[in-house]
Amino acid sequence: MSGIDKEHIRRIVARVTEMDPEEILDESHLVDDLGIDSIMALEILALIEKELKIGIPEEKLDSVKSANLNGLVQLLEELQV
Amino acid sequence: MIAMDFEEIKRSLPHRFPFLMIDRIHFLDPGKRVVASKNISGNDIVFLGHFPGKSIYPGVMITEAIAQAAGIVLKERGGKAAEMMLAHSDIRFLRPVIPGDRLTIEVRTEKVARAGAVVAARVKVLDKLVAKGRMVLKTA
Repeated sequence: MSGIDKEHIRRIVARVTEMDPEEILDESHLVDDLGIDSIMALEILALIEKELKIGIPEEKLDSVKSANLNGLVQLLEELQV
Repeated sequence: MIAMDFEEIKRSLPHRFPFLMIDRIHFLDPGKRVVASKNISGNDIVFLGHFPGKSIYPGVMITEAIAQAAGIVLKERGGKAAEMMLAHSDIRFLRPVIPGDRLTIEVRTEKVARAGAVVAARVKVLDKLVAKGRMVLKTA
C-alpha cells in the first residue's frame, strides 16, 4: 500500500506552478505539460522534503523533471523504502 | 562560528554601493545558516523617493538583502555568490521598516543543488518580525 499521499503531491506541484490542483492530472508531464524547469523542480523537492519528511538526493532532480505526477509519486515511494 | 565584517563581506559579494545590502555577518554555518545585519540609515538614497515626507524602506530592498545573505551562505560552502540569481521569492512583509532600524536577517538553506537553492528567511528589527518567507536562487 502506498505511503505517499498523491493529493498532497498534487497540491505542492500546483502551488509551485501556480495552477489549480484540478489542472494537475495524474498523467501531466512536469516539463512538457506543466512547464516546470530545474528551479521549479528544486522547489517542489524542497517542499516535499519539508512537508513529507522524505530525503530526496540531488541526482533525482532529472528523474523528477522527466516524470508525470504518477511517476513522481512512484519515485517517492521507492525512496521511502 | 564564522563572523564577517564589512570588508570581508565585500570580498564575498560582488555588490557595491548603492546595492550592497549586508553590513555584517554575525554567524555563518557555511551551506546551512547565516545571521546578518543591515542598518537602515535615513541618508539612504532610496528614501529620496520612497517616500518624500514618509520614509519607508522598500520591501524589494529587504528581499535583496535576504538574497545577498543567501549568496554568502551558499558561496562560503564552495559555490560562487556572484553566479547566484534570484529566481523566485515568496516574502511576506509584516511591519514597515524605517530609518534607524537595524535588520537582523536569518537565512537557512532548505535544499541545495547544482541548479540552485531553496532558502527560508526571517527578518527582525529588535525582537519584532518584519519579514519572512522562502526564496529560490538559481545558479547562473
